[in-house]
Amino acid sequence: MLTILSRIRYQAPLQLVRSCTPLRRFGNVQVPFQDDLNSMEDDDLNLGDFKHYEESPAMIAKKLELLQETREDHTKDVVNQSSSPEITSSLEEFTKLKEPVVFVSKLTNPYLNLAIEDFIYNEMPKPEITTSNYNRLMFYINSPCVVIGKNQNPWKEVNLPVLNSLSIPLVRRRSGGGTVVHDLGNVNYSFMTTKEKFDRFTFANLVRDSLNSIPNSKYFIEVNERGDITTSKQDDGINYKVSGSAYKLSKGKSYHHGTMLLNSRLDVLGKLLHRDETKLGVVDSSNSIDSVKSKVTNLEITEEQFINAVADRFRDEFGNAIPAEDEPITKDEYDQDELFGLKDFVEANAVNKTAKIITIDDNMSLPQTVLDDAKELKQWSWRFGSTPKFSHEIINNKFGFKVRFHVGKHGALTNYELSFFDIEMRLLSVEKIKESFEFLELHIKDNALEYTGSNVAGFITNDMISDWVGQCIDGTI
Amino acid sequence: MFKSVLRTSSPLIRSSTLSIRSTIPSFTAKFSTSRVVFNSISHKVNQQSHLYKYLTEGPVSVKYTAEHEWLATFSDDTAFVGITKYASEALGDVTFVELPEIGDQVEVGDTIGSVESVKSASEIYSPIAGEVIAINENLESDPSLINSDPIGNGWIAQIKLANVEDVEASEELLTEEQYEASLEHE
Repeated sequence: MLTILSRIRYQAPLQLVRSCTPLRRFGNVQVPFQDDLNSMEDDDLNLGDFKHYEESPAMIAKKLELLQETREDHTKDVVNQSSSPEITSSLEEFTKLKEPVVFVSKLTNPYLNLAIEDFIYNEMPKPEITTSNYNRLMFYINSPCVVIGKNQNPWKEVNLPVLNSLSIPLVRRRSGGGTVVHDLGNVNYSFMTTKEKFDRFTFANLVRDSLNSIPNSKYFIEVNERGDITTSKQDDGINYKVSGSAYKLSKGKSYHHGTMLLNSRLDVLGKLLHRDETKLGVVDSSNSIDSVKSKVTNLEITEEQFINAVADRFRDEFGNAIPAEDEPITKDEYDQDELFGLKDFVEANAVNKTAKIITIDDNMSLPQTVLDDAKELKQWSWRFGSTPKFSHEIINNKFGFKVRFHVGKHGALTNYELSFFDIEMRLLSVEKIKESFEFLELHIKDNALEYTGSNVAGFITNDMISDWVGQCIDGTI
Repeated sequence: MFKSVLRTSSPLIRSSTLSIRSTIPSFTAKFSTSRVVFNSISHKVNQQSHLYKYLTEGPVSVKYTAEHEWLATFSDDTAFVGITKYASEALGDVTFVELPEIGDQVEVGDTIGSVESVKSASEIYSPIAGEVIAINENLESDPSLINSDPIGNGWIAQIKLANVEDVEASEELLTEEQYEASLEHE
């Protein structure tokens, strides 16, 4: 499985200098340094002069001409930023291929990766006969974020004050299941196939076998009866979970995607998913899907090891057979390989199975649908607003009262109830407390108020109470 | 505030009287359990159940789709939609049902909701074109109705058909025999 890294290897000089940052993306082969080196290093390596590197006008003109021929719509970008990533391919070229394909995204924006995943899924052609397959496998690594299931309640599942204090985004995916935390030490995989071929174990077993084939790995991996990928029973008697998975089924298609904890910050993960109900209140959301809490651990292997092992096995299991010896590849397939510049790869991989591997990075243009979808996934109305109706009760022991907020459709606060209990010394009278909520009551009678801490706190007139309410809801005041 | 009440109330009265005069029997009067309806033409006692009328009457036809939905059409040109026993068994324990909204206009193949079971979200598609006029809100509190009675109390939505002829004309809608035959291939 040379190919995933081949892009990076061709840029050998830089790779050698900065091998300590495996996640770095090299935007453009032709422009030597971009921002990969800082000014200190310029001096160290005698590269200072290259700061002013520019391509000759003739070269730029020639490039433009070449680009114009193939891709008129990208010309504008190139003119504006001749030193920024150059578009060399577009995603649509590969999503409709009638053969198994592995996509490796080098992007780390969670909304973009989810949108790309959905696009690849929606565009995947369905095979006409059941014996052939156009399965897709996608890998992506997201910058830190918390991802909840389609039908979950973020106020219930996530410690929103901690999330907001760390400026970590909350993302809602389109598959079922529970809440997971992503960061750069976690690799996500997504296996897409037909609906008929769907089952929860096929791919979990494949991942298990690939992991167990990695030499010298710390853990032996198992799949339990729920389809979870776990370590074998450790000395403390626990099978630690290393992967959270979820599924989606739609017309004729299905996917199984999941996380794989390799080197994640498990301490942060724990803090993000732990809510102290005595402080943040009880979220009563009987309709939504609850997460199942499990003990987790890191596999402590590199993302390359994981991706290569799983992609290899995917190729062996679902790849197209390459005819041995005399390559009587059909005319059609041959043309495709040449068109995509992948002829070398196909030939170099003289094993008996093959699957294309496509790297998605800044050099690849993404269809407008993907960009629009990413924008949609980012909307509050989807991430929070699509939560089934719920109530949230918070208790203030200092002032001796409880307030229960009722949140209806679209995440809008519909009403609230105040109740009071006896305390030793009442710092604020019952009347004063009621009074501080009057403005809120008036507002939500006629207006839809999205249930965020700052929104609700903004209508509570007593500062001490409003700060406390905002803090309990999501830490925004 | 008073201004707005006055403004909205007068056309409302006008339109309701108009519609009753011009279109009898008015459809909304017959079937809206969830809306305020004036001058009902039904003199039968209001039964608590939305299904009351349909239980006694029985469907005109029951059809199935390759995506494992069923469609039970009634004489009032409405149809109930749900998922088949086969689908509900394939899904396993249903833990959440996403319903469409009343008033949604749907085309054949549009998503009208989804079912979550054991970490998987499965889309439900409309087998027919029309307007969603009722949804089974019981599924919100008791999603397991889809497992216990998928072709009865586990109905998902009621659709006012855009064209009644669609049901017979559609090649995608299968008869019970055709559907059963298709299952044998799976």
